[in-house]
Amino acid sequence: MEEQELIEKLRKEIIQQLNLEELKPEDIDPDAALFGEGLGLDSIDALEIIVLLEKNYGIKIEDPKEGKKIFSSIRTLAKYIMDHQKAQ
Amino acid sequence: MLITKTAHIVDNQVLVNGNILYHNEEAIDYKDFIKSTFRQLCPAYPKFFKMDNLCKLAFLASEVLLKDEHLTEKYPKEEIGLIIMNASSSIDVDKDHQQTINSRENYFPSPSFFVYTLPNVMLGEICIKNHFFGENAVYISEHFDADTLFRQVNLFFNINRMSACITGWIENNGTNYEAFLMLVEVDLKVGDLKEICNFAVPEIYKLFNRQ
Repeated sequence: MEEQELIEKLRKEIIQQLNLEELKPEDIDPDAALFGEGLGLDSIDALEIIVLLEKNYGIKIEDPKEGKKIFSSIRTLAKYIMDHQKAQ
Repeated sequence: MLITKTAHIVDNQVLVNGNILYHNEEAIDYKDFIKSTFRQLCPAYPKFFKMDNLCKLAFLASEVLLKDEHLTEKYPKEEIGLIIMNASSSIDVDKDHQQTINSRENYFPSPSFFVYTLPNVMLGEICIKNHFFGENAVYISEHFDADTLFRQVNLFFNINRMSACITGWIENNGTNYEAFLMLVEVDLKVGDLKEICNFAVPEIYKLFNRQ
């Protein structure tokens, strides 16, 4: 799967998983911060994304410090998934 | 103590002091109705969409009840409490949570369901939004029990020194829903133009039954 294609998929999955009913996939800037100012997600959302990664992509994040970097934006998340899939 | 305002959400209607504020005949189910009510009556509050159905109902009823009341300007935040009763606790979201852990092969507990698997969370949502710091409690009862509510609210006022209390019934079992909230105040100023009545058991039943 190409990066852009994966970004589109992640946008839809995140809206569904995090109940962001007011947002459309195209409203999420792939380079905007997921936490803090950007989408304004919270700690429960972070847990939901961890579950999403494990459930949909078979990826387990063991190190919480790693999560901060991976969850910077949709694009960093997509890159992490692609790197992980290549490594397998 | 006086009941200074009521809010009722039932049968696709929102009523304030017994008068219909909003009615959506076209809503196909609870979720549809609650979403349309939020969009119609409440200011933007993105956290609403993350709440479970019980919290959404409690939140909307409280927003309607507290509109223009400015409670935190009238009373210290620590003196505004909540006592809510319902029959089904948080069973609706409990079932959702259970579905995420039913299977060993597909065991992915959802954090956003799990955090709502206590009925007290609806009180937290109301307190967070309104900055209430007073005591709060949820009681589970098979039916609406005005005697217990009356007794507990009285304890709040007399022992915990509350000055205002949001109290009533917030029930959602996944099939049926009903929210009925009363604002009970101790410090009503003379001249307030409000449809008030005494906080007493017969009055509570009359208001709940819309008589």
